Amino acid sequence: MTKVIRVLTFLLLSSATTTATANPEGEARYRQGVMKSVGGHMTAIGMIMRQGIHTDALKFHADAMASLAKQSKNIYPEGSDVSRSEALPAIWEQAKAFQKATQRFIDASEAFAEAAGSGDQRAVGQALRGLGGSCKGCHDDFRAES
Amino acid sequence: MKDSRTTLVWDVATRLFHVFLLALVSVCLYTGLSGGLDEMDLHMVCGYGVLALILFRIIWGFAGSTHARFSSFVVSPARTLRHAQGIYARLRRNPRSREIAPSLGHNPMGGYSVIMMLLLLLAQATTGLFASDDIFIEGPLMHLVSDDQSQTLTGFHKLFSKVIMVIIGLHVFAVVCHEIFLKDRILIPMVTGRKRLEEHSISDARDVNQKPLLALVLFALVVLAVYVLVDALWW
Repeated sequence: MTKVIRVLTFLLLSSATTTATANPEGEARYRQGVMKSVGGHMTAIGMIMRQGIHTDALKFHADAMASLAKQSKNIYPEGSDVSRSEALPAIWEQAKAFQKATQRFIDASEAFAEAAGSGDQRAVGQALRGLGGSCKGCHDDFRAES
Repeated sequence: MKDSRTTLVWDVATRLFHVFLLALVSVCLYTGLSGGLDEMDLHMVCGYGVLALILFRIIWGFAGSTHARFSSFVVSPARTLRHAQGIYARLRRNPRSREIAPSLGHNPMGGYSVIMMLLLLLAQATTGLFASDDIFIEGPLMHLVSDDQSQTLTGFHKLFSKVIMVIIGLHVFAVVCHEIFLKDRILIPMVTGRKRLEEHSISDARDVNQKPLLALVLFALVVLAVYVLVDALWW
């Protein structure tokens, strides 16, 4: 019985420590890297869509975007609200709304990857609007204004 | 058509400038505030249009007809202050108020508001060229500055949009004041170009020389310059 309690206590404590990060600066810099990757793929997608070059790489960038989107929900741990970051405190204060915004990004990027695979230009355009909207929605509410 | 009691004050270029500026700035505000991908495509094209219009109007302020020229409506601060006092007295129905000096074109305060709006919209159109939404939309000259500078200019672009909305509100308010409280009909003349002489206690005035061909050539040159700026300089 005491062993069970000890294990449970350990699990509880360890889960608590994983939510509040011990390395806020590292976390902030890490997520900047992830979000810069998102931006890099978006720039590439923009050139594919607008300039009609590297059209065969659209699926690659769309899949990368979908992978990054999945990671985006892990990159704002509790306690990583450093002053130099553009991440607004609302991310942690309105955790539920932020989680919804991240989920929207994940769903929209998956829909875009699917559309990119289909090769249907109309569907790609429509999915890209959805993807752009999910970026903007989150930036408007959870990112400091430039 | 030609009424002996009216005179042509605003040349056709100035009037068209005003109408198109109203239309393009409205579209820019709507699309910019919405921020969607399709809206922003339209936003950028209309922004280039605003830039061309403003540049044209600045040139027209030197080359245009009488009342379109800056030299005709940018007057000394002292005269502007007297004008403001005159309007204030008239609004308070002060019987001893001095007459407001009649002005066919822009009155002193209106003149400065024109300058302010031109400069503000020029700054807005220019910062937009270097701006980015950090998602999908990039101004055509964004590559000429660093990412940090682009962010700063984007910040100005967003700030100016709010200032512009306030200024447009003040502009409309001023026009309404002139129309209703000062019985100074300025709205229709900005469309038709003609003002009634008797309303301005002026007995004789000649129609302005509209110089439509010169305006057309100048505007074509400005459009070409803006096209080169946003297209040829893109990377």
